[in-house]
This record gives sequence, C-alpha cells and structure tokens, in this order.
Amino acid sequence: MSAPAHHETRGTREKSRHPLAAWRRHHRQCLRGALARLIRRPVGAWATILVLGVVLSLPALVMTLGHQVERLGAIWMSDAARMDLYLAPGTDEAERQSLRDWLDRQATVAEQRVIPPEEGLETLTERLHMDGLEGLDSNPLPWVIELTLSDARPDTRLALAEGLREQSAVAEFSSGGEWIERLEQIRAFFDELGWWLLILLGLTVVFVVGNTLRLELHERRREIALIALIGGTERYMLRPLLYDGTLTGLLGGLVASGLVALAVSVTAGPIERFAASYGAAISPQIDPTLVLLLMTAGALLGWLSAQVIGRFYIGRLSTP
Amino acid sequence: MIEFANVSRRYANGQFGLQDISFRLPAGRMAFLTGHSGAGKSTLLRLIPALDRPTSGKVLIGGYDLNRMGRHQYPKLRRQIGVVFQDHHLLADRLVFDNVALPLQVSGYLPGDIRRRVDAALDKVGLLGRQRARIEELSGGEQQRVNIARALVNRPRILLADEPTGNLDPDLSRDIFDRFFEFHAVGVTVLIASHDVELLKQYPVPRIALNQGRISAFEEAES
Repeated sequence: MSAPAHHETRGTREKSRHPLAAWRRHHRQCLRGALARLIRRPVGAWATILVLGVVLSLPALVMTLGHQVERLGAIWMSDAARMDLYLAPGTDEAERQSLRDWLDRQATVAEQRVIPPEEGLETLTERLHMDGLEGLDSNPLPWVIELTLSDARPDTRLALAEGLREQSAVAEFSSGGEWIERLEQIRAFFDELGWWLLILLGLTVVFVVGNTLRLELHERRREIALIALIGGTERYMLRPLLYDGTLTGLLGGLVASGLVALAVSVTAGPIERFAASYGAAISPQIDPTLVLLLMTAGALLGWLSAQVIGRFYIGRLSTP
Repeated sequence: MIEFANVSRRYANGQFGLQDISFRLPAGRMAFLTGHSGAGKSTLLRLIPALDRPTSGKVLIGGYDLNRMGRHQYPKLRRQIGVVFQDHHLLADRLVFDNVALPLQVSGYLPGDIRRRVDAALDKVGLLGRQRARIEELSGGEQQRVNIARALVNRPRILLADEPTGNLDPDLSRDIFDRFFEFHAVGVTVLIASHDVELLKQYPVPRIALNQGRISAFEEAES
C-alpha cells in the first residue's frame, strides 16, 4: 500500500499491469485473510482444527507405539548379544579347532568360550540340585561354544546364523534372537499400520476440511460469482481457499503433535519403570520427525481438500 | 463488436428464454434493449460475458465465437466487458473504494495505479470523495453509481447494463443514462436493457425490442 500514487504516468493498459507483483501481493493478502478468518470465526475454525488434530493423532500414536516397542526391544537386545552353539556329537578336537578358527574370522563374533560337556554337566547338577548325575554312564551333553556377538542387531545374528548352518560341526544354535526379530516385526507392523491409518484418515481429513471450506465458499458465493464476472481467473478465486485449507491442516497437525506428546508424557512413567527393571534408562519423548510429518501431512491434506472442493464449486459458480 | 446469429436459449423445462435472435452492434455503437420484464433482456445480456451459453446459434464478441471459447479464456473476455447487472451487487461489507478497485486487483494492477483509476472512475460518476464510505451508508442512487464506476474502472470495450435505473427517480435515471451516453461518445460499445420507454425516448439510440424471447422490432434512432 506504500507505492507512490501521484507521480506515475504510465499510460497504456498493458504497461500498468504487473502480474507478478500483483500475484505476490495477492498471496500476502490471502495469507492475511486466512489468519483473519481464523480469528474472526474461532469456534468453527478451531472445531475443525481440533477434529483434524484428533484424527491425525491416531496414526501418529500408533507410530509412536511402534517406536517405543523398538526402544524396549533395544533394552532386551543388550541381553541378546549372545548365542550358544551346540556341537554335533562325536566332533573331535580338530573339527572343534577349525570351527573356532572360523568363528575367529567372523566380524560378528566378539568373544567365544568353549564349555566342555563335563563343565556343562557340573553346572547342570549344581543348578538342578541333583545328585547322582555323575553316575551316568556317559555324559549326554554336547560341547558348547558360548558366543558374544559384536552387536545385538537382528541382522548381525541372521548373517551369523547363515554361516553357522554351513558348519557341519554345529548341530544346533540357540536362537535367542527370535524375540528380537519378533519385536522388529511388531515395530514394522505398527509402522505400516500407522502409515495405512494416515492414508485412510487422510481421506477423512480431506472431507472434514472440505466440508468447512464448502461452508466458507457458500458464504462467499456472491463474491466469487462477482469476481468471475469481472474476469478473475479460477486460480485467483481458489487462492484464498488454498490458504484456508493449508493453514487449517497445518494447525491440525500441530494439535495432533500436541496430543501425541501428551499421550507420551502420560505413559512415560510406566515405560521408564519398565526400562529401569532392565537396568536401562529411557525417557520417552515425541519424535521431532513425527511432528514434522504430522504438520506436513496436515498442510498437504488441507491444501488438497481446498483444491478438490474449490475447483468443483468455483467451476460451478464461474462457468455457464 | 457484438454479434448474435440465430441464437436460442432453451431452459430445462423446455421453455425458450430466447428464440432465433440475430443482430449486430458494431464497435463503439450504443443500443437499448427494450421489452417487458420476462421478455428475455437479462437472458440475452448474460450470454455476452459467457455467464450462460446459447442452446443453439452463435454469439461473437470482437470476432470471437463464444461457443469455441474454453473456460480458461473467460477471464480475458470478461475483463473487456463492464457490467451493471441486477444480480451482481456490491459487496456491502466493504468500502466504496474496495468495490470499485476489485476489477483492477483481479487484473493485476498495482496499488498506486488502482488508486488513480478508482479516483478517476468515481469522479466520472460524481462520487469523488466517497472512497472511504461503506456501501451501506450510500443511497440507492449512489450505490448504482458505484456499480457503474466498478463497471468502467477497467476501461472496458463493452459496457452492459441491465435495468440500471431500476428503482431510481426520473432525475437520477436521466443522470445515469447521460453518463452511459458519454461513455459511448468516447468509443465504448454500450448495450442497455431497460423497460423505461419514456426515458429511452430522450436518447437518439437504436432500440432492439424483445417480446417473449424474440426480436419484435428493430428501431433505428429517432432524432
């Protein structure tokens, strides 16, 4: 509004038009308008935003749950960086040595300890408080090699397991990592469920925002018909609506983030206690990526909604 | 230039709004569209800025066949046409300035230009100094003049008016018609629908008389 008014002397129709500057100006106006409408109609607008927040928080909560499962899994994994190999009956010293050499060469193996059958039997006797096992004719226990793995990731364990299957001296190995794999699968499931929910509920968001925008359009239908009559393009008429939709979606995403943060802080106590019982310390918090995801998803869905509803209604209002 | 060639407009209920209308209004000329209410005057005017489509026949504006025009071309067409229509009122919650500035904003003018042109348009209709007034504060005649200022601010080539003096008293009506006549004098093509026979008689302008959707008479200007 600060352009000099009186010393402009440009004459012709075309020269005095500045499409780009006017376009930028209109964008600014639309943003201001969208903010003003938000303040002017707090109840209606915020009701929509709240509904969006609740709807968007659902997939986010599921994803957060998956995230927590993963973290709890990590605690279990500290216990899981171990593996026991049970050797085939009748392996001789040379075979055992060649297996140990092979294990030495594996980057995934940090340490190995050989437990002869005698030691195993002793431990067993002790643990079971049973006497008389010494009296057995032969020791039924196999040779055992106790491994400490380089790390507790399921991938590490899987890679090692593959190699172990090739080793004829190894009859069996403990697969304590199954739990971890399952946890990993559960986390993946939650993640996938979260994404599906986001897509499904995203549709809901499009309809919820769309309905609010439809009311807005209905209220402004005379103005839109007028703008169409005086030569406003569809983009021009659509623009304020796109700002309304995007802003509503963005704030919906923010509310959803708030709700998830609230849920996380409520469940923080139990999770911390659980972690503590495993000697670990975790303090659950909302993932910043999730906040970004929610706000982006909200804004995109709001924008999409405005596009769909806006083009439909404006097309009807501006063309015969 | 406005040209209608065998134009009919039939409604969904089977009734004809317009039937076999043909006429030509060369660029820079002025004409009145007369007839009782319901004769098809508004229906005819609405076809010109492509607010409606003919069921059959051709409407040509400046040589362009509206039937062949895509909807993305409508804005360009409509920016060349100023309209004073009954059903396109002013935005009552805005200032006079905002209402008149609207066509310029839509066409991409900058604030300085807009101010200058709005002032000029309001000056032409005798409302200079009322820029900051709210539409609700204006009388019926003043509102109609704001309407005319809005139709002219974009310097259109064609001006259409549908019963522009609807509820106004005779003096005011004359005043408004005088202004239309002035615009015609500077080269704007003007087409005005009115049933105010007494008023129309005072202007040497050809008349297209409509009756039940047909042209019943084409009277050349008397004078």
